[in-house]
Order: sequence, then C-alpha cells, then structure tokens
Amino acid sequence: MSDDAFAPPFRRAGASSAVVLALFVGLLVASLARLAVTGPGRKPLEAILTPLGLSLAAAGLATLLAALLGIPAGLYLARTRTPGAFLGLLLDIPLVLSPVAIGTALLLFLRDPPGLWLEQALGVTFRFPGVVLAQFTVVLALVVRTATAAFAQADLTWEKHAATYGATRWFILTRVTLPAAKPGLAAGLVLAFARALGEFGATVTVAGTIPGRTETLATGLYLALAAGELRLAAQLALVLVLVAVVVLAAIRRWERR
Amino acid sequence: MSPQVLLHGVEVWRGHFHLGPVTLAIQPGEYLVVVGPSGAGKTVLLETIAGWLEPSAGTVSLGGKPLASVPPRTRRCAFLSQKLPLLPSESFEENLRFGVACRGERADPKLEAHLLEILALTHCRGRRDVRTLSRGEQQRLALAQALLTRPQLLLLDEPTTALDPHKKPELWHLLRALHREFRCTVVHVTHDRNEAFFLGERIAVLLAGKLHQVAPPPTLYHHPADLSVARFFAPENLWPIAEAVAEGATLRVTLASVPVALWLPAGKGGSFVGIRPEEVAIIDPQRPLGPQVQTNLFSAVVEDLVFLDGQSEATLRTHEGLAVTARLPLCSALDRGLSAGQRVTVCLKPRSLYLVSEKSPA
Repeated sequence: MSDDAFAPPFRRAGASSAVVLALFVGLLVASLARLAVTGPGRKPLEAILTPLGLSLAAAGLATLLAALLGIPAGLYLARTRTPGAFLGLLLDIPLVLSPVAIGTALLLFLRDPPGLWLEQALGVTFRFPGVVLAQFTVVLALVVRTATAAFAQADLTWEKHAATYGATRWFILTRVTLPAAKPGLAAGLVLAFARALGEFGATVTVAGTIPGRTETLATGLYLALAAGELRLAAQLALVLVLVAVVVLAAIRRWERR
Repeated sequence: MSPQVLLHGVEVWRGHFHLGPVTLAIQPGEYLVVVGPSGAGKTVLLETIAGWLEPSAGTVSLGGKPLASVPPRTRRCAFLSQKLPLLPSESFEENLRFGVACRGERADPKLEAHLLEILALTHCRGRRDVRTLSRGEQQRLALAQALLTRPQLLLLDEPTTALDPHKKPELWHLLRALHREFRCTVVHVTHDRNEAFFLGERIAVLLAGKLHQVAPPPTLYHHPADLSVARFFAPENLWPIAEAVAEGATLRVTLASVPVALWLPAGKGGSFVGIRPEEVAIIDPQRPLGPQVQTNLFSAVVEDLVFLDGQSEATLRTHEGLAVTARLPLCSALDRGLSAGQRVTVCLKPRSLYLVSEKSPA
C-alpha cells in the first residue's frame, strides 16, 4: 500500500477482479494437488522422475543452444536499423506459430538436405535430439526477442566511453555490453527455459513420447491422461506448476534489480 | 608548436541541426571553454572531437594527424559526457579504475591516492554501488577516473549542470587547480557565462551552430565580435546607431531611437553601440569629476532598483528618454543611498563603449 492520498479510479472493482482471478488459479492448482495425492492408480516414483530429468536436460540444452545463437543475434538486431526489420520479422515467426505447425515443418525439414544431414548425423526424429531441436526452435524467437530488448535498453554511452579510453572490442563486450544487459538476458533465458519445459506440440510431433527416451513432463502428462491414469497426470502437472513457480520467482528477483 | 586539436571547416548534421563550418585550433595544454546557449551545438562539437560523430565535411586532426587514423588508445583522450562514464553495476574502485582498465593498464596507486585526496573522495572508498554517491561525488569520481589515465586531452560536457548552484564554484576551483597540475589540454563546454570566464584561458562562443568568436576573456568582454555575441553576454544597453562621424581621434555616434549623441575612441565601425551594465557609472554629486567621466554625461531618473545577491541593478532613464541598465556593487548602492525615483547623473565612459555589427566579421 502506498501513502499516496490519490486513489486510482475503480480501485475496488480492480481489487475484486484480481482476487477472483487469483482464487481461480488457486482452485486449479488445488484440484491438481487433491487428485495427485488421493487419485487412484499409484505409480512408482520413476514415472515422475524419469520424464522430469529428461525435461530438465532437454530444456536446459535447448535454452543453452538458443542463448548461444540468439544472444549475438539479439545484439545485432538491437544495434541495426535497416536490415533488422525483415530479419526480426522472420525470427519472430516461431513465436506466434502453432507448435504443432513448427513440429510439422521440422519433420519435413529433416527429410531433405540440409535437414537430412542433421538427421543422419544425430538421429533426430523420435529421439532425444529431436526433443531438444523442437524446443530450441520454439524458444529461439523468445530468446532473440528478449535479448534484443535487453540490448536496446542498455545505454550505448558506456560503450562509447570505453572505446574512447581505448578498450578492445572483447573488453567492451564482456565488461560493458553484457553486464548492462544482464538482467534482461537472464530473465529472457529463464522464460525460455520455462517455455521449453512446458513445450508439447512441437516435441510430440518431432520426437513422439517414448517413455525413457523422449517422454517429457508435458508429453508424459498427455499420455497419462489419454491412458486414464489421472493420478499420474495430476502429479506430472503439479511438478510443472512447481517449476513454473520457481521460474516466476527468479524472474521477479531479476526484474527488481 | 602545432595545435593539439585542429578542426578545419568541420560541418556536422544531426537531424535538422547543422554545426559549422567550424575552424578552430586548440593548443597543447590550453584550457578552452566553449560557451553558448542550449541547442547551440556544443555537445555535437565535443562529440566530434571525441570521434563519436563523423563530420560531413572538413577535417579533425589530432597532433597533426587525421583523427580517424589515430587509434583511440594512442589518442589519450578522456571524455566526460553529460551522462558520466560510471557503470551502475560496478563498485567505486572498479569505476575509478575503469579508464585504465579500458587501456589494458594498471592504475598507478600513488596517483590514485593523490587524486582521491584532492578530489575529496577518500571517504567513498569501498562503496559497492556508485549510484549512492551524490551528484557532486559522481562528477569528481568521473574526473578521477579520467585523470587516472593521464589524458592529454580532456573533454568536459557541462560538468557543473547537475550540481547545486552553491557547489559550482567549488568544482570551478578544483578544475582550475587540476589543470594547473596536470597541464592536459581541456575543452570544456558550458552554457554558464560565469563558468566560461572563470575557467577559460580562451573562450569560444558558439551560437546556433556557428563559431562567432574565439578570444581570451578580456577581449570578449571589451570587444565582442558581433551583435549576437554582445547580446549573449549582456543583452542590456545595446542601441542601434543612426549616424557615426569621425572627429579626429574620437567618433561621435547618434542613436537611432532617441536623440542622443555619444563620443567614443575611433576604431572599427559598427551598426550598434553598447556598454556592459557593470561599466555604467552613476556619478556621486559630492565628488569632483575625474578625467574618465567628463564625456557622455546624462541626467537620469532611477526607475527601478533591484536588490541582487551582492549587486544592485538599476534601471535608469535619461532626460532624453534613453533606458540604461546599470549594475553596481551592493555596498556602493547602499553607501550613496540609491533609491527608485531619485535623480542621478550617469556617465557612459567612452572607453567602456563598444561598437558591433549585426554580422560576424569573420
């Protein structure tokens, strides 16, 4: 609460809608939790831990790859005016495209060169690299976007000052450019990681959901639901909720800095 | 001695703003102040010297070589823009040594301690966040950061703007002392005329993107190059001339607006005659007239008297209807009991009068 004497208009109406919405989300989580504890069909712990481990590994790798390729691209887009617009548009496509469409495009891409070479070298379809590739494709746009915003926000003056003193490009990048964009980059990567963890459409299209090989939390959840294993489905969903809470808390911390 | 910085016919476009053509030679070890109102292009000029902006015409050279051919590391240039080169994510010490780190060098501990001492920053040691420093401390830290790199050329963009008015003279004294000690070339940009006179060995007057005059302070005070320069430093007491007649060593000018004739030493011509408000003499009726104040005497009425900080500003109207602004030390106004409505005799001393033309002679 602020000490400001000025009350914004419709404050009470706004407050009640916020409370109702929070209650709604709370009820959703509560119903998951109830079923996860009391639902029928108890399963061994591995049924949760295996897809969790696979999810974390795939999402981590996909985020890492997206960071390695997306952050330099974001830096370029933030500092360029002319060719940036079209390039940015192209890179934004996966952001708005249906994940199943992305998955379909990936499958078709892997049938002919140069995609075929990737398929032959790594063995992508219905394998773990397929999970990573699908998630990478989905979150790449997210990383590029947040990185572009983070670099665009950072003040160029510091870089100019460093250059005036005679700093090398590497020094400017590591000491000035990246630290200035760090909060935005970190928030973007955490967001990308969360998005990759929950990714379903593209993953299931490219890699299917083979227990122990390509089954992630999100695809496993769908499989459990389809098989009528409600308790397992609720448990997997609850794990996703927990991860989401951790991620959101982390983003808030970075944003406050 | 070849100039350290030489601008020759430099023109820069920034959107609709056009700077130049500017031709200016800055000597090694000189303290040059560029003064002008906001929007005159002072920052553009400074950023061009720093190499941040590329001129669309003309050349900038550093020590006789084209600026672009001198790699930044050998330029030994430090630029304190209005946005100071302090990184918010880094500590006091890291910021202090940022300049030397950029050069890939280590800070000289003796110089560092000395700078912290003279810049009164010793108490800030160990601060984790430089944003918690006061604006004055930040300004001094940026100066320490720059001087720690032992620059040959120091560019300062409005270093006192964000300071409280009573803190400004403190920094002026400091900058004067630092310049004496380090003897680096300083190009200092400001809109503050007092600051320009306090610090500048030479002052360059930049108005609407054009360099109007570059001169030492006394020349600027007594002989402004043109009407714009005269107006910038003292907009009061500038009158258009109807006729000027040379009579031996003196010139007799008749004003256009009121039937008043003034005598002044013959020199260069002009279409306006002016006098600084501080040069207007209000004659004490009790005292005999000295040789300086026997010409251009007018009987006048004090129309208004304003009590300033240490000065009195009197608006006078002569018998002929000429409005004259006079500024005199507060004590002398009090001593002679000056008050509104009072009749006085004013003298516009011939040697204090100057002639200017509308167009710059350059």
